[in-house]
This record gives sequence, C-alpha cells and structure tokens, in this order.
Amino acid sequence: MENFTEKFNIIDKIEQKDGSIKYVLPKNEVKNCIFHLKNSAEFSADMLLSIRAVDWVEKIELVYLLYSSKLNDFITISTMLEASNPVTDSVISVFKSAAFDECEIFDLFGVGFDGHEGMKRLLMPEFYVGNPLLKNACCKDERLVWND
Amino acid sequence: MEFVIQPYVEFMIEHKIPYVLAFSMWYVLEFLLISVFLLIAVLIFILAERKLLALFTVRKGPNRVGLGGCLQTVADAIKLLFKEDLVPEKADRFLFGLAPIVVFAPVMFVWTLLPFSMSILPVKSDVGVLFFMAVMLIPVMGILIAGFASRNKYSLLASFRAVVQLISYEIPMMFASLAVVVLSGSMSFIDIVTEQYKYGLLSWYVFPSFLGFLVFFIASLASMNRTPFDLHEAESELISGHTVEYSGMKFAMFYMAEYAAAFIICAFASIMFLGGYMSPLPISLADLFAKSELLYGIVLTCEQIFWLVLKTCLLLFVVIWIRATLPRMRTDKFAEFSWKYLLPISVVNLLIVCIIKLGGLYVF
Amino acid sequence: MLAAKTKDWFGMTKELLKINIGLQHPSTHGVLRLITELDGETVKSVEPVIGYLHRGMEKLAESRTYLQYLPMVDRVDYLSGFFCQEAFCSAVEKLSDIEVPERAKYIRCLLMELNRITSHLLWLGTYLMDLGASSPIFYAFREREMILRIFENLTGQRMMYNFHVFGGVKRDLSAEILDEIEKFLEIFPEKIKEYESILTDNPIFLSRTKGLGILTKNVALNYSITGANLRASGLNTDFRKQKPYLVYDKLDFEVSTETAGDCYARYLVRIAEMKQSQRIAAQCVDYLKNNSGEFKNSSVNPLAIKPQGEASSFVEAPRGLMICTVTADGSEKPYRVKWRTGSFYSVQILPELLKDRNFADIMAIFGSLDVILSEVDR
Repeated sequence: MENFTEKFNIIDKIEQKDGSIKYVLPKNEVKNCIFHLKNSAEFSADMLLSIRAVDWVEKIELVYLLYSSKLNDFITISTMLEASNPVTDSVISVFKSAAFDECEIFDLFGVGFDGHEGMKRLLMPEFYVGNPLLKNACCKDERLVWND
Repeated sequence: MEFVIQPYVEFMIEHKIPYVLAFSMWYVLEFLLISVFLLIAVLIFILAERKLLALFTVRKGPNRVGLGGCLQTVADAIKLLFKEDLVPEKADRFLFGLAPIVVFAPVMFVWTLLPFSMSILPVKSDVGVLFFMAVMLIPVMGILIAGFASRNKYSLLASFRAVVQLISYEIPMMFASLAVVVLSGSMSFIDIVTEQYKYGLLSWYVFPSFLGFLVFFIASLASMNRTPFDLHEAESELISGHTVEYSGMKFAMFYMAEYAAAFIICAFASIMFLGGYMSPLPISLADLFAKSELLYGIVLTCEQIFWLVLKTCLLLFVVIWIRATLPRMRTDKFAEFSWKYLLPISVVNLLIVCIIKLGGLYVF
Repeated sequence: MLAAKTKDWFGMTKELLKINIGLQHPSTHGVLRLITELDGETVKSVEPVIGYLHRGMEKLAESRTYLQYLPMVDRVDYLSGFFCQEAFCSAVEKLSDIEVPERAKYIRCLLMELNRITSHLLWLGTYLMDLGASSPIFYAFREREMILRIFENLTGQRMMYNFHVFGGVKRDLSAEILDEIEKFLEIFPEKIKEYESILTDNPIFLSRTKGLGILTKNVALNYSITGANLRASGLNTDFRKQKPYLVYDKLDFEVSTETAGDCYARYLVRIAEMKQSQRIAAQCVDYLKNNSGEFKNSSVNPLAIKPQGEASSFVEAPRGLMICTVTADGSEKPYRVKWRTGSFYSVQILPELLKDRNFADIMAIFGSLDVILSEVDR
C-alpha cells in the first residue's frame, strides 16, 4: 500500500465501519489510479465491482469499489465532484463494466463522464427531466406525479 | 364398401330417388363421415396429449370440464369459435384470410387418400403415395403466406424457418417412402397393405427397411412441427411463430390442421411400415362370427379400422413422449442433421432394400 | 434509428431486420427489452434496454427509517429474498456494531442456502423452457415447492419473507421445521440425479449449450461478472470462501468451477452448487438440532437505530455478488443505500456474447446467464 500512497496524491484516508479504508483522490487522478491498480503487479485488481455516487448537496461523491483476487481484498477509491459542474473522466477504457454504472449515475445524479460514448438514461424514461437521486430532486414532470 | 352399397342402392331404387341425387348424396355422406371422424379424432388426440403430458410432468392435466376433463377440448373449440376474429391493421387482409384455408384444406383432403379398411377408400388412386407426399407440402405454403400476410417480424421469421425445415426433412422422407414403394412394387396404398399381409406380421415393411422407418419417423416429427423440431412454433423464441396474429376460428384452423396432420402422418407411417389396417393376428373376428355377408363386412371393417387406429395411436404416443422429453433443436443444426445423417441413411436404406428385392433374398 | 443498408452481389439492397425482443416476450424473464438486428437468422447487434422495472429502491430508502425499509429489500431480487435481507441487515449491523448470536447466523445460513436451491431450481426450469423442453420446469418446481412450503410455514410468505431483523431473525426454527428441512435435504440429491439423467448427456441439450456463449476469463472480469457465471469461466471466486461472512468459515463445502465458460459449463456449475448448498444446509441443520442459543440479539431496539458512517456488506447471491452499501448520517433514515447486484452486469455483457450468433441462441445464452430484471433495475 505504501507504493500506492506515494504515487498518488491521496487527500484523505477514511476508515469505514466495515473495516475497509476509503482513499479519497482528486478527480483527475482517479482514472490513472484505477489503471495503476489494475495493471500493477502489486494489486492487479481484477474487477471494478461497482461505482456508486452519494449526493452531499454541495458535492457529489463517486466511490469506486475494486476487487483484487491476488490480495483477496476490496479497494475503495473515492473522489469528490463539485455539484455545480459534476464532470469527471470515464473509466470505460480501463474496465468495461463501468459503462452501465456510469450511465446509471448520469441518469440518477446528472454526473457527466468524459469519454463515455452512448451515454443515455438507463433506468428513468427518456422523457424524464431531472435527476431523481439528488437530495433536492423534485419531480417536475406532471405525467409522473400521482400524489402531492 | 360393397356390403353397404348394395343395400343403399336397393333402398334408393325402392324409394324412387333419381340416380344423380343418390350418387352425389353417397359421396357427400362418405366425405362427411370421414371428415367428422377426423375432427373427432383430433379433439380426442389433443385431449390425450394434454393428459399424457400432464402424466409425464407430474400434473393432473385438464380435469374440470366433463368427467375427468373429457370435454376440455370441446370447450376450447367452442371458445375459439366465439372469439373475435382480429385482423392486424396493416396486414394483407386477403392473404391473411387465405392462409388458414391453404393450411387446413390439403390436410382434410389428404385424409381421404388413406385406406381405413379394405373397403373404405374414398379416393382411389394408383399413385397414392406420391399424391400424399405432394399434397402434404401445400400446408407449408400456407404457413409462408401467413407469415408474410400478418406483417409481424416474428411470423415472418417463423415462415422462413418452416421453409428451411421443409427443404431439410422432405428429401429423406421421400427416400424412406421410396423404399416401401420398391418393396411393394406399387404406389397404391391398397397394394402396399396387401403386400404386407402375405406372411402376417413378418411381412411388415418395418423389418426389411428398419432404417427407413426410423428416418421416416424422425422426418415426420419435423413435418408435424413436433418437439424437438417445432422450429417455427418455438414459443420461447418466436412466440409460436406464424400464428401470432391469428385468433378465433382462423387460429383454430391452424391448430386443427397441425394436429390432424400429426394424426394423418402417423396413420400414413403405420400404413407404409406397420401393415396398415391388417391385423397382426392370424385369426380375425369376422372369420369367427361371419354369418351374413353384411355382418361379415361390418365386423371386418370395424376390426380393420381398429387396428389402423391402434397402430396410429401407438406412434402418436411415442411422438408425445418425445415431446415431453427433448428440448428444441436449432434450425441450422436440424438442417445439418437432415442433410448429413438422415439423407445418407435413407439412401443406404434404399440400396439395401433394392438389393433385397433384386437378389430375391427377400423371400416373402 | 434506421437499420444499415447494404448491397449484395446482385446489386439488390439488403436491409437488416430490426426486431424488438422484449418486454412481453416469454423468455426475457421479466421485462428486458432487446433491440436486435438480424441478418437472416444471424444476430448482428443487440442493444439491451432496461429500466422497465425500476422502482426506485435506492430513493425509497432515503425517506424511510431502517426498520421501515427492511420489508422492502426482499423485492430487490424477488427470487432470493433472504440474500437481500442479509445484505441490508448485515450492512446496518456493521454500521451500528450489532452483534449477531451464533444460532441466528446458522439460521440465516441455512435459509440462504435453501433459498439458493429454490433460485437455481427456478433457473433450471425456465432455462430448459427457453430451450424448448417443457417437462423439466415441472420437476424443478416440484422440489422448489417443498422448500417454499417450509418457508411459508416459517415466515408466512412464499417469496417476500421479511424474516431478518437487525441482530438476528424473527423466530427460532422449531423442531418440526428442522425435521421438514432434513427430510427435504435427504431426498434432494436423488432429485438432482433425476434432472441430470434427463439433461447432462442429452445430445440436443448438448448441441444447444456446448461451445455456445463462451465467456472467457478476461472478458468476464472486465465486465465484472460474478457468481456462477464467473465460476463457469475457470475462476474460483466465491465470496463465501474468499471472505467468509456469517459462519461460512466453519462450514465444509467446495467451490464448484468449470473451465469452458460456455452455457453448458454454467449449467454444470449451478447443478454442482445446488449439491453444495444441500451439503451446507445439512451441516446447519445438524448444528441447529444439537445446539441451543439466542436467535436474536434482544438488546437491539430496531426503532432506535441511528448509525453514523458508511458500511458495505457483501453476499454471494445466486446471481452473483450482491453488495449493499449504506451511508448513514446519524439520523433515523439512511442517507443513501446502494445495491450492487450480479444481474446488472450480466445484462451488460449481452451485446458481446450474442454478436454473430444464431437467433435461437439469444434465448440459450441469455437464459444461461440467469438474469432477474428486478435485480437489474432495482
């Protein structure tokens, strides 16, 4: 892990309740970091298990969960995006499984991913306006409102 | 049917009914009798299939309508009769209506070609086998029409598959039947059955041309659209294929035609290979109880119909059994199977049969 | 979108047939829509469209307390409710440091393994249905029904159990139910043999599944495929063994793997997994019969759960790794709940697996991946 912490500009290390450590990185380093985690002999992360987003109102947090069968451990990478302009690099070129995850986050949180072609609403209907999982989301489309 | 014709003619003369009327009435009656018999047989067959499938899959099957569910298929038929006849907006209305008829009519017609007993043979033809095989191709045309006319991509794919399937199974089936024709030296059904009666059970053509029988049976599964070759029905892929857009009576016609075809082809197989209406036993009931000529004729006819139906039912049982057991084959795999295995085997079978026939090794 | 037009040798315009498989198609196992382009019967491209079963599971959590959300989580994957319950409960337990008694852990393990059997049986039946065999589904459902009866006796529900509570389970397993389970586990190996006798050497089944839809190791990892689909590709990643949760480290079982990565391998892995589940369940029943103890942590007040922080829990569900991450902000409602489910990633791989395959193979390959759409859309 030392090599990893030296190589990347780690802003914060948060120990989570389940015992794992979340490494917080600046958003421009996430892609390189995941690339490094995948290809370095030390970690050789096999899978990008999931990407999740959390809306902290002024910021949107993206959490990448990787699994390395060599270490037999999960690696959690996190980054904070400005809620006013939530755009980051896509990691599809590193792990293809990110495609649906990023679409989902785009759909539900409105986060843009540079380098992701074919971005579309995945779960919500095409005509839906807004991003439902944001904390201040309210449904503006009257077709979808059935109670006050 | 001489034993019935005689009293019929006498009856007509007695009541002074004109010859033309009596003659045409006779034919109408005969055809009516035979087609009603077929329809009832189909209803029973559908019920039997559902009951048997239920048995194979640890279920009860239909058990509400009638005693033990015996009227279920009748109820289904009545329901279909009263259903609304829907035609898709963009479908070709004429062809859409034509397709069920093109499928249904040949099947009904072919039924009259088959001899049920020595005396019941509505259409006498010297080239019965050839005629049968030719007419049985027409329903596929109907399926193709249905696929095109209903403007549904699933139907279209299904009709393509039906044609691919036809091309695959038809030739081995022909070669297998050809072996029988070679053995009997005739294309007439009556001759074929009579030849198979010469030496009782042993002269059945299933013995000299056993491979031919197997090939014929497998190919006929395909021609009946039964599992494992129900490629163009494939409810899990094509959502029952060409019948997707059909409802009501038109759907019922497709459905009936399919089951009738299954029944007819099995009857055909038992005529060709299993001695047809001839009893496998050396003694017949008619010989024992033959008092008058009329009684003898009636008993013999009933007995022969019984044997033909029994043999057909045995074959149908195997068909249903296979349906309960096997998954569906893929179209290209089936074509491969037909051309690579069925066709060579049927040709080899034909060769063997020719050698037996020519060399006189076939002592019967 | 217009289908691509090409010209053939004779200068005739050739158009790909665009066909919409889905929503109400009998073999899409729910409401998946596949926009498919066909050239004859060859699939040229497939685009999965999901979201028709999106119920907003993650958003709903934010407006409910932990206890209110608990009955909902069964619906994340309606065929394996106990796994969803376990995932959510153990995440909350990790967050608020709740101890789970040993007996409760064994009960959870037992129920989950039985649930895995029901899920795999349903897969087996419907998969064979997709391939055109009509009877195996009835044989599979016959055994599934036995387990569902046990579940119904125990929890009052056949599919949406709502049986877990924070720090244990709702009820103890009575001796009668344990006997029933034991009786089932005794006859089950014979039933598996029955399925195998119809299927494993069936030439048509082999020709429909062998060498088809090959998922290589690298592709599977790249697409984050987990569960039985991954194990059929030659990896032994089973999180019950890799990172044991509950009492899996005390139980004796093997991880079943195959190397071919085709539909047939996936079938074999699932059959083998059912056998292993039977083994695990038998051990759990053995423990539960011979040991007594608390079935729940009675010191927990489920209404007063107000954790802080973030915790993930992972469960090896029948359809792949299931991760539930709960982010809490100290209030009585979760701040954010994220479900990571196996099927979501299995759907994603369809375009890759189906390209240039026969039309009939769509169902054979898609069925073999064992996708449940409620899990995809959440």
